[in-house]
Amino acid sequence: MLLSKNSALESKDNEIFEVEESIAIQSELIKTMTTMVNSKAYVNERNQMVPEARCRKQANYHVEQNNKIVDEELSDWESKFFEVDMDDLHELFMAANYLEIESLLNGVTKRVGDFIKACKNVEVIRQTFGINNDFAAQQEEEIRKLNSWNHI
Amino acid sequence: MKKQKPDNLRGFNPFNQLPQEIIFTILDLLNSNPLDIKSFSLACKSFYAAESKHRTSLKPLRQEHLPSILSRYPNIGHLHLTRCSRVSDTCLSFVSHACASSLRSIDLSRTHLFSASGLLGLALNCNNLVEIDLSNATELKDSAMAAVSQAKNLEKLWLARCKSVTDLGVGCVAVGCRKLKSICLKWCLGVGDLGVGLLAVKCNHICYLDLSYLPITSKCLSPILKLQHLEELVLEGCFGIDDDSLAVLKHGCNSLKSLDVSSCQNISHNGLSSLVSGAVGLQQLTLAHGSPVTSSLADSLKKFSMLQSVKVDGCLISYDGLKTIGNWCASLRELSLSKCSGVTDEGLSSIVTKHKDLRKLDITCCRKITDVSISCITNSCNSLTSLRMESCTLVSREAFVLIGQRCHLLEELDLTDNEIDDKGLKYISRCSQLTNLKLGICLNITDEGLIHIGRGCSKLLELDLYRSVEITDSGIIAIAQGCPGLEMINIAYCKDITDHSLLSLSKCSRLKTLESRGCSLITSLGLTAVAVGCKELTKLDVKKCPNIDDAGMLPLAHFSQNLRQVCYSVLFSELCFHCHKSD
Repeated sequence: MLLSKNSALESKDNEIFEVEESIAIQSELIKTMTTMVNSKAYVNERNQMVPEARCRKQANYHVEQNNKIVDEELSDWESKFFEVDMDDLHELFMAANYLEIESLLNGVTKRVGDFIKACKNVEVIRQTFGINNDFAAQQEEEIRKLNSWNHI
Repeated sequence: MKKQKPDNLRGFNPFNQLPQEIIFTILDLLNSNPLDIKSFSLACKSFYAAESKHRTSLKPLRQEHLPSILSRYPNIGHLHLTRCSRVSDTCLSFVSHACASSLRSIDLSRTHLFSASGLLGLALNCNNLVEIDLSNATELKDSAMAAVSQAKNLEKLWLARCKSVTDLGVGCVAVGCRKLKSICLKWCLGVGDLGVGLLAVKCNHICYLDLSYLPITSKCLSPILKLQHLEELVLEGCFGIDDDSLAVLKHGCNSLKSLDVSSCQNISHNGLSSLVSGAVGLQQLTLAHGSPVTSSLADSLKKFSMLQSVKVDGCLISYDGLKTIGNWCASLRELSLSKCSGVTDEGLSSIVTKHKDLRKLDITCCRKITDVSISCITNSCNSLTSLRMESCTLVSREAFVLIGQRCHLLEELDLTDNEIDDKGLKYISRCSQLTNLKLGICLNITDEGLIHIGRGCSKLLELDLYRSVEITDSGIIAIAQGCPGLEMINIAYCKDITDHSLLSLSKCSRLKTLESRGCSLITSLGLTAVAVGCKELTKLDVKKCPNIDDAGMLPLAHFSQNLRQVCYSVLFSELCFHCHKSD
């Protein structure tokens, strides 16, 4: 088996780290850039949103994902990977979205969905995700009323 | 590693930076519980806006709410108005303008008051309308069909029990809706050979056709069998079709995959042969409540190598008939001999030993079978996912051990009115895939058996213990703890059940149906616990529970937003009402 080429990725914090090309191109964004620029892709000025920790996390995510062959092992590992607090989850979300990595995005989305399902009511949702309630009291009351009339 | 997020950013909504598709994906994941989606939409304005754009399906409770609901949701594709018992033409006109080209399907079954003019508005303004359900609209006349025929893109039309529609109306639809693929005319007693024939001639894309109980004869079958794409044909209760008239059919239907001639007493194996001639791809055959299943009939079906599912419920069946089925070249996946007289150990064994790939077997009320059959079934058919054997009373307790030992893929098991005991349940608890278990009128099972089930069958969704009177609280508690996904439980007339059971059932957050009729020891306390804990409760039966009073009903009204139906005894009379609003 041939050694795959390594790509060097530079993050916003100016850290360069190498990942196997096959892993790097899991990100649609990097894939597009690689095909345009050649084998070494550096994403510095575009990468304003991606601090080092995040990049490292992604690299790890993919290396591990490729290593785990058995499904059960993979799902166990995935649930541990996503067991992070809201801040980390939010960063993962941003990174996955910016770098356009579908599998990572699916994982994070599912985790957020699970979080919401676990919330008993809307107040807990707001607390968990740190969301500001920008409804006027009367508006909120009206929506509650309408919601209760619809068995959607 | 410390994050450097400044504290003042905590107040802003992090989700605002994400593209809408991602919010939509999250909403898709919440679809299983409407309450989650409602909470989501209340969180903040951007969530509310996202949810409003995301929703494509709506099931409102009252027609008066439609204007406000439809202004909130601009992308409604599927509108179910089944809960609005009265929908006027004005209402339909409003819907047709509000939803316009986003509307793809509308369900008006169980609704009345509207007429042809409302339907015309829908047909003309909603150019993407492909599906209309008008079942049970007994007052709708041919004028309404003329209106429907203006929906040029219509693909699916349900007219079950529209008894005022005649051949003329169906003819209009046939001429106007040329893209029709599925149509149901069950019980449209005013429609005969003429209307059905026209449909078959004009609508070449039909693949599903339900003509049950129509006064049709074999005359209309000629054009029907010529349909190039016909896959499923239902002729239940078509008394006008008989062997003699079927004999003159000149050609069969090559595309036919499924045929249902239940309750057609005038069709025997000769007629059946004519109907299925040329149907080389036939997969599903239903002959329930029809002529006796003899070896000649079974013989005529021998050549259908793709046959997967056969249902002969309620037919008289001979040993020769059973044996001949055993000799088919097809390997059946599904066989139903429910309430067939004539099923013996010998006959059943001869079938199951040859059809080893059976996934679903129904031998309800085959009262002559004994342990011999069960042994044979469990030996041959290890891939069984569904076994229904209600009232097979000659089967002894030991046989149920065999089921647990050999059929580990079982998901559905109906053992109502059988001799099974706790030892049997211990072995059945090995079937870890069980989702649906019926143990009604099983007088030999006790809590001990249920404790085993609670340990082994964590995926259980439905449990029926109707009149299994030896069951007490400890059994139910074991189930509630071991089967957290429980959605339905029937403990009617299990007289020893108390509030302790209801308290533990309140932890089953997905519980939708609770039937505890005749459990005279339960009180409002237990009911309150269920009301608070089981937010998805939809159906409740607490008849003949004298200790449940108004105090028990109030928490339901407050907490149970999904409640649809409550059955409740009031002093000397019994009351069963349907909830339309939660307060």
